[in-house]
Formats: sequence, C-alpha cells, structure tokens
Amino acid sequence: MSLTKKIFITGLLASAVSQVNAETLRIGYASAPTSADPHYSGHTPTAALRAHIFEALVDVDRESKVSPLLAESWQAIDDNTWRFNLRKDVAFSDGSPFTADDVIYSFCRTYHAKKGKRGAGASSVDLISSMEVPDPHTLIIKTNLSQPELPRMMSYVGIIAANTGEINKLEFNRENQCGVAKFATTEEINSGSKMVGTGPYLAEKFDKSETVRLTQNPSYWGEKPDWQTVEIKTISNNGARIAGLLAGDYDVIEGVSTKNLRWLQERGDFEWTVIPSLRVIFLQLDVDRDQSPGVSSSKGDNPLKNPLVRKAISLAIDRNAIVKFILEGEGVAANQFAPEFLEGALTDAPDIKYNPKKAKQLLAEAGYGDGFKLAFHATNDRYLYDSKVSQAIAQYLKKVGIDVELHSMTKTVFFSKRRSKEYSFSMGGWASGSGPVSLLKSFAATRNKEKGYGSGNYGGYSNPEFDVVLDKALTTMDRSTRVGYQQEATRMILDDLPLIPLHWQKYSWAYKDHIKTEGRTDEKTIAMEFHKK
Amino acid sequence: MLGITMINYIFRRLGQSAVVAFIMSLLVFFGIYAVGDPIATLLPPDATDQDIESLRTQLGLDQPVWVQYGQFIWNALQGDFGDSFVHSRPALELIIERFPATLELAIFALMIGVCFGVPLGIYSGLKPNAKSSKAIMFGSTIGFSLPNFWQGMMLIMLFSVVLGWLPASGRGETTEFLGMELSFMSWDGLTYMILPGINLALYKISMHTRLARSGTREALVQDYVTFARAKGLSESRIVRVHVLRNILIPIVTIAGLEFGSLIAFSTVTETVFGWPGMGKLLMDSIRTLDRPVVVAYLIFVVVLFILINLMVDLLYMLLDPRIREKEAK
Repeated sequence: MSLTKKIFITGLLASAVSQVNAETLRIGYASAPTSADPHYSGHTPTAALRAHIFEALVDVDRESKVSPLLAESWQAIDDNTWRFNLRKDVAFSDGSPFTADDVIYSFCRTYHAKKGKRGAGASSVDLISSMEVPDPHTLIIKTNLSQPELPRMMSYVGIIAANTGEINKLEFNRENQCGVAKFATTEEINSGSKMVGTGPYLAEKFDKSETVRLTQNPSYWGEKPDWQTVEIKTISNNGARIAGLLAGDYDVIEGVSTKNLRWLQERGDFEWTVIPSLRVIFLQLDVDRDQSPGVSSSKGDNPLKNPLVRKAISLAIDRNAIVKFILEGEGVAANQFAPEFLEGALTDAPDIKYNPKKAKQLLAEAGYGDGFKLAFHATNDRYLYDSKVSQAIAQYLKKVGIDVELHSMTKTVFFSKRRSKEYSFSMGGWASGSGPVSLLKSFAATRNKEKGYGSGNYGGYSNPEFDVVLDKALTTMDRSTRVGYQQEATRMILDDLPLIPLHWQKYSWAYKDHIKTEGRTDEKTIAMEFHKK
Repeated sequence: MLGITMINYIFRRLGQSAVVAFIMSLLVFFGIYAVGDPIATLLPPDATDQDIESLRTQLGLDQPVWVQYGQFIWNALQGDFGDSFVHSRPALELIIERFPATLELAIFALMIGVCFGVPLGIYSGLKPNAKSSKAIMFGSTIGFSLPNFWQGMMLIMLFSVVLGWLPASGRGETTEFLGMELSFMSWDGLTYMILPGINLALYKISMHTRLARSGTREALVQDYVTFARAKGLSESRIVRVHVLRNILIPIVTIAGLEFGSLIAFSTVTETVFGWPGMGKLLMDSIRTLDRPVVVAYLIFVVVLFILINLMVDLLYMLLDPRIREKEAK
C-alpha cells in the first residue's frame, strides 16, 4: 500500500470515528436496561432509562430527597389519606393531556406488565387501598396502614398515557382489572407504538441492537435538557468501557474503578466524579440457631448468639484499612446502616474504631478466649472488590483467634444458598434511598409475611422491643417524631449487632471535560443530570 | 449426485442430532438447576416474601425439578423453549434476534482467516527456508498462543485509544437486508466490525497458515506435482491447480468446524467488544441464571454444529471426486 493511500484510509477511519456532535450525549452503561416498559423492572439501568421517557408523580434527587414532578404538591389529610395535586400543564408525547386517569391506569398496569405478571412499582401500589378523583387534576389516595413514605414510593411508578390501553370504565379496583379491557403490552411499548410518556426524551423504539437512541421531546413541559439526542450503549466489561471513553466512542461512562482513573489523568481532557453511594456492605450473623451450620466451638454452642462476641467481631475489623488499601478509596468506612445525609440516619454516630485488643478481651469475657471455628460466606462478583474484602475480614478475625474459613462464590449461588439459610456468617449489601429503616425492616425485623417484614432476616434476629420501635419508625406520620424512632431503631441494632456495618461503596462517572455532573447516590446515570460547561 | 444413499445419510445424521440435543438439554437443565435459584438475581433485594413466592409460581419454579424438566421437554417438542426469566420473551426469539450479529462477525473472521492464512501458508510451504517464511511461522505461533481476552484489550488500546482509528466497542449503524440487521453494508457499521473481526481471526489465520503450509509441503513431493513439472507446466499453474486443489480438503474441514465454534463461542470477543450477539447474550444469561435462554442456546448450538458438519460433508463431495463416486456407488 502506498503511503498516500495509507494516509487517506487512516483519515477516513478517523473521520468516521470522530463525528462528535456537540448536541449528542453518548453514554456507556455498565449493565443493560431490559425494557423501555416503565413497569417492567426496577433494576437500576432499566429504572434509569425509564426516567428519560416516563415520569412519575414524585422525583427523587441525587441525594434521594423527594421533590415534585407530575404532582406539584401533596399533603397527608389524615394518617391513611393523601391528596396529590397534579400539574395541569403537562401533555404526553402524543399530545393528549395528563390527568388523574393516566395515574390510575399506570398504577393498575404495574400488576399486568410482563405478560400479565407483576412488574416494577407493584409493591408501591400494594400500599394503596383506594384512589378517588374529585377532579381531573386531584387524586385522593387511601392506604391500609399509615404510610409516611408514600410520596417516595410514588417515585417508583412511571406514568404512561391511559389511551395506550382499551378501557371500559376506569376505576382503581384490582378485582376487575381496574375496568381496563387491555393494557398496553411490553412489546407494544418497546416497539415504540405505545411508548407514550411525559418525559424530556422520546425513543423511537427499544430493540435488540442494544443502543437506545433518545431525542428531545419538543413539547416537554419542564426545563429542556442540555442534549438534543442521547445514545445509550452497554459495555459490561470495565476495561472495554473505559477504552471506549478514551477512544471517543462515549462522552460519559459509569462505574469506573479508581485504578483506571490514572489513564484519564494522563490524557488530561477527561474529568470524573466519585461519590459515596447508598450501598452499604455489612456482615449478617446467625443469632438464632443453637446449632448453626458454619459454627463449631469447643462448648458445642453458637457463640454468635452472644452480643459480646458480635461486638468483638465488629471491633476486630479495621474498616479504614480496608477502605484505604483494598477499596483504594472507593469506599467510606461505615458506622451505621445509612449515609448521614439520609433522613433517619444518625447524625452523631461515633466511628467504630479498630481495637483488636478489646476484641480479644470481649471474646475471653464471653468464654471464647481460645476462639471458635466459623465459616464465612461471601460473593466474589457482586460488590466492589468483594473477594478481597472478605479475605481481609477473614484475616482480621483470625488475628483475634476466630478460626475463619472463607467460602467465596458467584452471586447466583451465594444468594440462593443464603435464602435457604445455609450460612452462619455472611457478607451482604444493600442500597436504599429511604433511610436506614428499609434495611432494618428487611434484615433485622422479626419475620412477618403479612406485613412484609424480615424477608432478608436470614440471621433469625428477633427482638420484640426493636420491632415495636421499627413499626413506629415506619408508620408515624409526624416527621420529626418518625426520624426519632428511625434513629432509635438504628441505635438498637448498633448495640445488639445482628448486622455489622462495614463500609459504603463509592460509585463513579468519567466524562469528557466539556461536561459536568454531580453524580447520583442511587448509581443511576441519567442524561438530564449531565450539563454542558 | 444426491442419491438415495445420500438422503438416507442426511436423515441418519439428523436423527443422531436429535439424540445429542436431548442429552444436552438434560445436562444443561439440571446443571443450571444445581447452580442455584434465579429468583435472587431477578428480584430487588428488598422484595417481600410475597413477591418472591408469586414470582416462583409465575416461573414454575415451585414445581419439583423433574416436573419442570418434563414441562420444558413437552413445550420444546412443540417448538417453545420457554420465556426468558429476565426478558419475559421467548428464549429462542432472543437468540435468533442476535444471531445475525454473531453470524456476520463469524463470516467476516472466517474470511480474514482464510484469505490471509491460506496464501501465507502456501507461500511459506513453497519457500520453507526463506527468512520471510520463518517470520510467518513465528507470527503464527504467537497468533496461536495469545489469550483472546488480552489480545482484544490490546487491539482496543492500540487502534482505538492510542491511534484513534477505530471505535472501541459496540455495533455501529446497521442496514436491513433479507430481514436481518447487518453491519457490513455501511461504512460506519464496518468500522465497528474490524477490531472484533481481527480479534477472532488472528487465531484462525495462524491455524490456516500452518495447515496450508504443511499441506503444500506434502503436495510438492507428490508424483503428480513432479509429473506436472516434467510436463513443463508453469509454477503458478502447478500451485493453483495441483497444490491448492489438494490441500483444500483439510482446510474446508477445519474451516467448517471452526466456523461452528466461531458462531457458538465468540463469547469472549463479544463481551470485550460489547458486540450485541449471541455470545454476549449467553454470558449475560449465565450470570443471571436465565435457564430457558442458556438451555435453548446450547440446543441451538448443537443443531448448528450438526448442520455445519453436514454441509462440510457435502462440500467434500464437490471438492473430491473420489468421495463423490464412493457415495454414488
């Protein structure tokens, strides 16, 4: 090949690659949205995509605070009744006006998404016992129990136009399918024919090509986003994703490990945001069974039932060292279960200081001075550096005399065995924007199927006093009283330690230097939060 | 030339494949069942017991495993491999949807492999002692031994990050052709194919080089070549007609088998380059224990391999008159 020809081809290739359009934001997701159906899945990438096209009554901001969206305001009329005032100036992408009927239709559809099966948002709608519409822009929602967090729960339900279904007589009644003859199907929404939302972006279709193309909704009621078009691609491999950013295929990528940030530093024309996310990593202990499958002590009992032993385990772990050397800064040592900025978190929680001496003392005091054997189960592909973190924890516990045998495994195996209570001591994670109570409700409350409490309480912790406080923390309508109960619930668990907090993970975004963003603590990547400098 | 024996032969082969597909389904179904419960990955961690139970019933996971398997086989015989747990869509549909992307990448890689490998091999076979031949053979050793994953990352680093010539990952513009979305018809689409194509092809190039080289060296000392030389035929005619023709049979066999594995197991390349093909689907499905997709995928692959082998056998007959005549008798 002659030199000129070479140069020509190089130029051609280069120009094909570098068609950078200032109006387009190209995003590289770490995992793929599974559908454009607003009620299909609540998983982070799918919910993030949903926010572009379908809005909810309520929004949650980057720090998980609730704010008005399709509902401009709301009040609790009494303990079980809420009034939502809907915006009057909103139209769907097909031009039809947004009214309370669309809300009822969408709420009912959560039970019939996924080929007629329950979908995302259904557990929010579960809380509702009735919905009334005094006028097209007012909704009266009644709940069975008092639900102080109802507005937040409304943020999980995307609103789709009622005219996408065939309706006989619309009313909120689960028995007769709300008077809807046929709901829009997931296929119809993915194909674009019924993708009718109120969001700032429109998508022609959601299909197999794994690229989602969004264009600005010209008739959007709110503030126009900075980008005319948005392209979302998914590259699950971390190295390939950052290479794609460096190569100019993407303007923004999510989930960049700090180890890779030096590549960006060298190049100089990139910036990044690394923030602590809502995800807390914690240890879960079997505090219930006398004979626990992974424990053997010389006395033949289960030492984890003893609060002194649990405290010793907590003190034996150097959280700061783990965060600094293993997470390489991609974490924050945890001293409670929810980050401080969330409502209900403790504002004065002391750091849990590494104190192996004290740990040994406590173990001796509890009668386990010569240690005991403990099987430790952890994932190796679910949380940030989870296999290394669990190895470090095993080493720390060995130092104080607990003979830990670590079992790392892939997440699918881990979670199904955890569900069947095969572990005595395991490492889990949790992320929720509604403060510490959501974790405590699932993982520390006494199992109660009716109320939906304790579904993750594999350690079998049961403390009637705590259950009472938690119930109040979940149902008290007055905000400051409720926060008081939430903090009390957290304190009780930190004293008793059926769960031991380890650290909060960080999440990161890297992007070209003409862009700025603050990052969301719920790890969602949403185009509206990326701005031109 | 397609005699009765031939048709018999084809039917016998298809019968064998049904047995293989059945055994495969059994192994994979119970294998994945043993790995764990997909519910944990399908539902958010705060799912209530009620959510979990209702999903188990919806997916039929509350039944004993042999009932689940019987149900699966019964439906599969009617062409229904079940719905993906994750996508709530027919598993087979998901696979077939992604098939064109994988197929075009595989064909592209196969073409690179043959077009570069065979000439290089013949060249080094004809001049085994030339320095350039030794360089080619050295190169092929490297091509054989580089791990696919690392090699892919290096290609991205070099051509996308450092030089900035080619896109690093994903699939570009596609054009619809015969009902399939294909990339190679547009320039933009093609640029996205080059790196994953090369990544898949490097190994194939090395293999074809070696095959063609040893074939050539063998053929050169055969009587028919000596005879052709004695007849005074030109060297290029000898190579084209007498050598190439004779080394084609092993090359076609290997190319055919390798084509099957290109389609079925380009998982690593597809994952590194974010190529939305079947391999990436398989990886994602294994991660989420999406059993219907994994089982359907592997059965699909079994059928594919059998069909490819059949086609290779038929191609033999075109290439080799001896086999043709044997079958005709």
